[in-house]
Amino acid sequence: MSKALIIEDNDNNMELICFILESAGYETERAYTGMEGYEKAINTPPDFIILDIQLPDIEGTEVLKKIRAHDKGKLTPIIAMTSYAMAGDREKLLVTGCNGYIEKPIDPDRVIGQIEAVLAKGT
Amino acid sequence: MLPISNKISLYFSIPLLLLGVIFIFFLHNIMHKHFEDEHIRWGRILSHTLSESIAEFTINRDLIQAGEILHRLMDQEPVIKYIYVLDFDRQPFAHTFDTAVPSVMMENFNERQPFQHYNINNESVIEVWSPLIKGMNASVHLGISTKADEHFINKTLTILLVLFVLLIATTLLIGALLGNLIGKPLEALTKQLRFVGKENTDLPPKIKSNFAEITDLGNSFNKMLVQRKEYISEIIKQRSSLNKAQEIAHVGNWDWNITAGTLHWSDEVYRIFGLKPQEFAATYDAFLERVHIDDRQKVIDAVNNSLKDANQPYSVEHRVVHPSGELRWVHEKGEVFFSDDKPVDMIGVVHDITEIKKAELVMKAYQSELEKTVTVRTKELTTANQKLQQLDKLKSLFIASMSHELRTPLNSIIGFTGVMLKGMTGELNKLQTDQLGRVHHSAKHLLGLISDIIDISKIEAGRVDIAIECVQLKTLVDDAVSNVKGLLEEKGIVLHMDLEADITLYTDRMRLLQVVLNILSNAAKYTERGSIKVQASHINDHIMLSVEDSGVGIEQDNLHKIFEPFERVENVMSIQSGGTGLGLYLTQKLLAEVLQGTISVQSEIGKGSCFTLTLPLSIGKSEQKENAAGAIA
Repeated sequence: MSKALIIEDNDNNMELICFILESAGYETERAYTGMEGYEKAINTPPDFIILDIQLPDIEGTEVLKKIRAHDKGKLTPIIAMTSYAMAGDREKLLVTGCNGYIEKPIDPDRVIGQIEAVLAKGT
Repeated sequence: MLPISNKISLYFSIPLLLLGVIFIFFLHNIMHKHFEDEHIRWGRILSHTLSESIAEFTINRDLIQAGEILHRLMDQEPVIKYIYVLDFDRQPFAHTFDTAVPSVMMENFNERQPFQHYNINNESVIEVWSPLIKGMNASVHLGISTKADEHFINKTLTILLVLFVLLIATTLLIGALLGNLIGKPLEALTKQLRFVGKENTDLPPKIKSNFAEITDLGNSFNKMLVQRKEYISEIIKQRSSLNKAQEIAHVGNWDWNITAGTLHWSDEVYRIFGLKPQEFAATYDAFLERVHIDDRQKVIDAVNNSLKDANQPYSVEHRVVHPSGELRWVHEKGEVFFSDDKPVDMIGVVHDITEIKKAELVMKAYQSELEKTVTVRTKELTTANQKLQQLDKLKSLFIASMSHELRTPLNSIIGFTGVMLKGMTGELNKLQTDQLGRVHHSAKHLLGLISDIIDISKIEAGRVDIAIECVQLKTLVDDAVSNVKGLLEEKGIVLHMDLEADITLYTDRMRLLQVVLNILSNAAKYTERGSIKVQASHINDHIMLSVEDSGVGIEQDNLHKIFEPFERVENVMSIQSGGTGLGLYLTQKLLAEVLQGTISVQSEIGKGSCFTLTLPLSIGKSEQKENAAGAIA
């Protein structure tokens, strides 16, 4: 059973993505701030991380860098969540060290497929 | 000086007089000699003849006969004064003297001298002799009077003298006449010269003379006077126009003769100084007196500097005080002329700058007023600008929060309705599925609208981030196609791709993708069957990308409308299409503002449409929006 760490400030989105993942059989760990997400990513390393880029405390890209900078977070697959309007930022994210991304609004039909595709690429 | 007539007389009469004296002297001598020679020649012939006739009587000592011959000869020739005969013993034999042969004659007799001069009774006599018989001592002596000769000579010379006197008199007369003929016209000329005064330009009467040269001289003189008159009138004209020019320009000129200590002012200078010529002493000191007391030292210093140094031209601004008390501002400029390193003359100009000064004051007042206004306005503008910047920040913030805050709940709505519609939360009945589907669709539509509005407002505000990168056209088209693949498969539309190999662009990848995707999804939306053809080729430094569908098509009248906001072409399909009505408007804006391309469309109702993009292979950096910094989500 793979464990996913979801870093997302919006409760609705958190609920939605967790529901979809749990429905698909994943275990979920929730973090509502960037710092909380970082700590959980290091202290209880998940199998993969879904990271919202727009966070209230620190930028998602900063969280990404911090996790990547740590030994325990170096190899954890990280999937970024972005709005379609932020399209230009996606390339930046990939350069920063993201393994993939999924778009908001989340399409329940496609999101699991997208996540699995990223994870399959990583292994 | 002697008048010309006296001179001429003198020059002629003195040589004439000298010539006369010399001539008479020589003539006297020549005549005297000539007569003497004649007497001697004639006396010798006569005495020789006499000796032949008297020789016999002398030998015979027949005194009576001899005496008769002698007296007869005396009677015949009255010029013979006396005759005497000396015998062989050189003793007087016969003679015509009253008493005896004067002893002086006897003593003087010398055989070697052919004649002797004697004076008898105050009468000059030449004595000539001949031997009675050749080789013997006896001789005949004749005394010939020269009284007649003297008389003749004296008479001749007297006549000559009279002639000379007449000649000299004539000469004097001619001299006087000549003097009159030449001197009079010359005198007239002199009078005319006096007549032609400094200012008098009237022409004098013509000079009349019998001499062509003098007439010529008079004519030339008159001609010269005519020219002079013309020159003078020209000078007067120029002087008056200069005066007028100075009056108009308010510039006068002056000339300070330093050596003589005189100062000459033009009329305009007098006007500027408010003085009349009779009120001004025309000296440097008199000038200084008219200079305003506070400016006087400044003027003196300026003058002295120029007098000391030839390279320092005189230029000073000062006030002058009119006798009425009126003040005028003037600007003086001048130059000093040196002779042997000593200043001798200084000339310059005075410019009345009172009006300029007044205008300057007004200008300064305006300027300070303007500066004040500018300062106030600048402050106002700065405040307004700060407010605007705040507003702009607020607007950017607003747009940013729009994008985030509006989208976040919409994402939730779309996500959850999507999950529910998928049946992940349990089975839905038909009505629930339909209604929840409408919620889902509306939310998606709203999200699309928001995205488009944000994009448009970014473009219109010039806040688009342009990221130029190397783009493989094929990859980009594939990317776009993958987004509509589901819809195409659903509708069973065939997609034909005809892309020229290896087209590489330097452009903003995401914006181009947005444009291509928009056109492609439009094609997919409005086409129910048939095919969509995507073609690309490059011509020179541009590429042409066309998307041709076999869809509903657009009416010709509506073709121009489709690029305007919310101008969705009304047709049956529009209701089902679900577009925002901003897609083509945004597409066109992106092409014009970011991608430097154009879009064109060809369409036929019922047959389909063809949208063609023309794009540069590379977009210049300079075309980038410089103020694209605003962080808009």
